[in-house]
Amino acid sequence: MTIFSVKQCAPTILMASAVVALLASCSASVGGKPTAAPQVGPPSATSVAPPPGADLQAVVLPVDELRRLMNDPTLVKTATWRHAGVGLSITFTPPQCSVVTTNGLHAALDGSGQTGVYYVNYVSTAAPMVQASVGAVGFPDAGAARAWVGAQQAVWQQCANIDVGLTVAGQSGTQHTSALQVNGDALSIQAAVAGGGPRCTRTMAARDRVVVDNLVCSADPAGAATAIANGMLDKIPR
Amino acid sequence: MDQLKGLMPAANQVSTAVNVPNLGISESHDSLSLLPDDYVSDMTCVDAVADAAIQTYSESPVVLVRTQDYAPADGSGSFSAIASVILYETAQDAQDRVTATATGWQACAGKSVQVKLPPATFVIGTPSAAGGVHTLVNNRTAPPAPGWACGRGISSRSNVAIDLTVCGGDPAAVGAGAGALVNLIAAKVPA
Repeated sequence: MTIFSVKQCAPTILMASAVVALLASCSASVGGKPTAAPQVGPPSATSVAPPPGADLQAVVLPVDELRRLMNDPTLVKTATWRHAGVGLSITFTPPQCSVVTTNGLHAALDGSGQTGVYYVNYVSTAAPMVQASVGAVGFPDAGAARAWVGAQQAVWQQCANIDVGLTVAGQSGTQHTSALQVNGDALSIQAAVAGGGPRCTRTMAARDRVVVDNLVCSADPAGAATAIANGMLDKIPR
Repeated sequence: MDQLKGLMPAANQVSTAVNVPNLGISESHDSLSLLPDDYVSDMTCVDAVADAAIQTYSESPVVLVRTQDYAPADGSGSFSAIASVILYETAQDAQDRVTATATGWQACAGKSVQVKLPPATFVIGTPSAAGGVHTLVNNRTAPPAPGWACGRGISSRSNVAIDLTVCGGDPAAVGAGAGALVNLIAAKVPA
């Protein structure tokens, strides 16, 4: 029974960054083979109490707070991911830059040693290209968390200040990425769809054994993206 | 998305499956159903009365959704079918969603719930399963006339969950119709 709809999927590749962020793909394959399970390993011998999924969930801001920070009262949750995603049928050029245009992918998380992930996707019912995908990734210890951010920094650096190509369902487009911003254990980079449209800001930051891994898309997402990341970091117990 | 749309049966196929002639497609959209958070008096039972409800599906890793509504072309309002297909990345995710819904149905069986829009009271039936297809019939008790019941059906095939509601005047028919429509759509999903 439908009262009204939340438009989830943009019809054009030019909006692919946000689509990728929240929905993996508009060209997702039906009947695709199950993907490999994410690498969720046991806690290391030095771990005192690695954050379980429930603790990661507590890192994500309440929807009311996200609505306030993004200045969009119509934001609603559309999906929850407790494992990494594959991004389905999107082709990125260069391929390693998939992790700059979306979060929570196997491409970034596999081999990281993470102990759990929790990603939540939100979309604005008033402006469907206003979207956020916010995530928390747990690690056995703070060193492992920082190491993952460091590893991702190297990849993000390769993808900074370039045009990243995306192909979805035979349609192609490009996003231009900005310079990578690094502030301690915090990364930030912006991507803008060629020809105008929404911008997306990727943020990643470590605190203790948790990494905040977000993507925020809107007409001008940088401020909200920073505020959301900081708000999540503040919820991580030291 | 085109592949997902392709899973939706034509109106005449639905007519045959549910044994209701002259159905047409009345609406379609690519979304979860954004029901109000007080849509049902007991929101733990929202899955028992509504397909693709955002409150529960948003707790799962939904990739894409396609919903299509079918109704008599004459506008009589004597029947409705709302069919949703929900794409996940993995078959396990789709199966988990179906299992969670079916488990929720069990917990709601026998409850009387008030639905907000349009205002009505339904008694939630006892779920059954056959061949991996879970079905449920909810009988409307208020308003009592005309007689109205809604059959719910859910299953998964590969990485697609199929979740639908078939409503009409005959409780037995809507239950059977829900199961038949699930199977019709499931048969379109590549193995």
